[in-house]
Amino acid sequence: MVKLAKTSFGFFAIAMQNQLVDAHELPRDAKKAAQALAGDDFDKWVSGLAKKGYDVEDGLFDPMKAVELIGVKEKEYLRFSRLVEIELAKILIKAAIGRDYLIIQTVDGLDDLNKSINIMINRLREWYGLHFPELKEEDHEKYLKRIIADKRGESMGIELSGGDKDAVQRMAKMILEMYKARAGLEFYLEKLMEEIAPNLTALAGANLGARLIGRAGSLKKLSEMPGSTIQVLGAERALFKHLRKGTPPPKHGVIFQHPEINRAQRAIRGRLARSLAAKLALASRTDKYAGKLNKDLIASWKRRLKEVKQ
Amino acid sequence: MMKIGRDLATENLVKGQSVYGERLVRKRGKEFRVWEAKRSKVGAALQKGMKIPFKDDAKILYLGVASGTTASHISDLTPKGMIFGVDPAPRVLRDFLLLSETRSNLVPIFADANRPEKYRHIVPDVDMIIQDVAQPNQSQILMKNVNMYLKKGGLAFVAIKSRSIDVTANPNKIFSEFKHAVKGLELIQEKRLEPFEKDHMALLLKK
Repeated sequence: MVKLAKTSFGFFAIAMQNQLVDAHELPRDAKKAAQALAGDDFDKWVSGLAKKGYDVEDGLFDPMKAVELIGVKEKEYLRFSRLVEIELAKILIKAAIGRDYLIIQTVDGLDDLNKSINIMINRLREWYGLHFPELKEEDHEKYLKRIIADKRGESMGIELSGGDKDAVQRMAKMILEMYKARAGLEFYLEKLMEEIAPNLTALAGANLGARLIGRAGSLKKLSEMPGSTIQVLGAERALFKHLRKGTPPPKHGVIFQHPEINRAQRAIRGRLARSLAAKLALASRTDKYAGKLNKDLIASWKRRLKEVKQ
Repeated sequence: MMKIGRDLATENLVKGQSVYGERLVRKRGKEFRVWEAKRSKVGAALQKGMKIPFKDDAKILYLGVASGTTASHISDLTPKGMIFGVDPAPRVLRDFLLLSETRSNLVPIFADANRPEKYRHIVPDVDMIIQDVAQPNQSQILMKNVNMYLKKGGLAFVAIKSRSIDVTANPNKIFSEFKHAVKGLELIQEKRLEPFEKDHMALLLKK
């Protein structure tokens, strides 16, 4: 029987009485050693040992005690291992952050942008209203364009000098740019979602699908959730109130934004939300592990929708 | 470690560095970092009177290190030691990694504390385990790590957030169940963390 040690200095097979019987040393270069630890070098070395006829014990040996056998003292062990682990963590963190994180930033970015646009539009309506209070234009984008055109007839508003106008028009132009940016981001989000989560997109649309990924934290986390959790994502307050105080449980969280749910009759919303959530759970797993659109899944949701609505 | 007003503070290992926006205070020619008890469960337990011995050369396994707010103070206290900080969340571990590059006694480990064998390539047997993971199976996670890494006679500090184990249950019931689950260890001290944290308890255990 031999015990194995996996360390930043190398891999070691240790027999009874701490005798080193096989060793695969790693380069004493933090980056190179980290790459070896991140790859499958250790597993290959272990299967090599089996071929040599060694009987391997379960579990790993204390790495610091193992390297003593090749003359590495504690201080040097800690110094070098720390540098290797920093490099290894960099490799692993990078690999853990997939393109689904771009989805989350994009959908949150869209929310921020919408909030900013709303705040600034309200300011601008007050501002330009000093000059042209009679202007009735409900549509924000059209209102902004009217500011830039600046044509008014008889008005009880105050006069603006050239400099006064520049200030308010500069602001209007910037908000118009924000509308353009929003349209661009929405288009980008569609593309990103179709690439990374085609099934979620087909079932829920890019925006809602992206929100679900965001609520879960990542596509992987969403794919590990049961439908019942997905159903109430975004309704945490109501859910915990239910658990603590026994109020009725929430029927839907962010999936309420799905047109088939919010347009459905009240009486069947809960049932629809439950089956949609179940299909979304399947969709997220398909997206995570197959990555291709599964038409049967979409068809099965359509069938269920018909059944419930009847 | 010393008191500055009502707060605890640790002597700064990296002069001029404020890790999470905490105040730096000069006293007797030395620079101290104020340890904000509301941002650190170890800090809260110390404020509540728990005595935790930190040897200056201790090797510590920290489960749930997050961005390293607490670990930074322990780093101040163990200049000749090594803190192995484990966390499975890439976003926060990235911050801890950047902090680790500035402090030679911190090691960032991107792994899940549920699977302690995943970091046996780096973590040797340790003098202390600190656990702040807020997971329903927290006691299991602790025991797996204690069995694999903690030296005989070593200490384990645990922060238990009862709501992360079961929101509906009575905190006292959760705490006593937790103590039962780790009864292989000797209970040295226990403190509730109010007013710094709600429904939290800290335990100091010995192997």
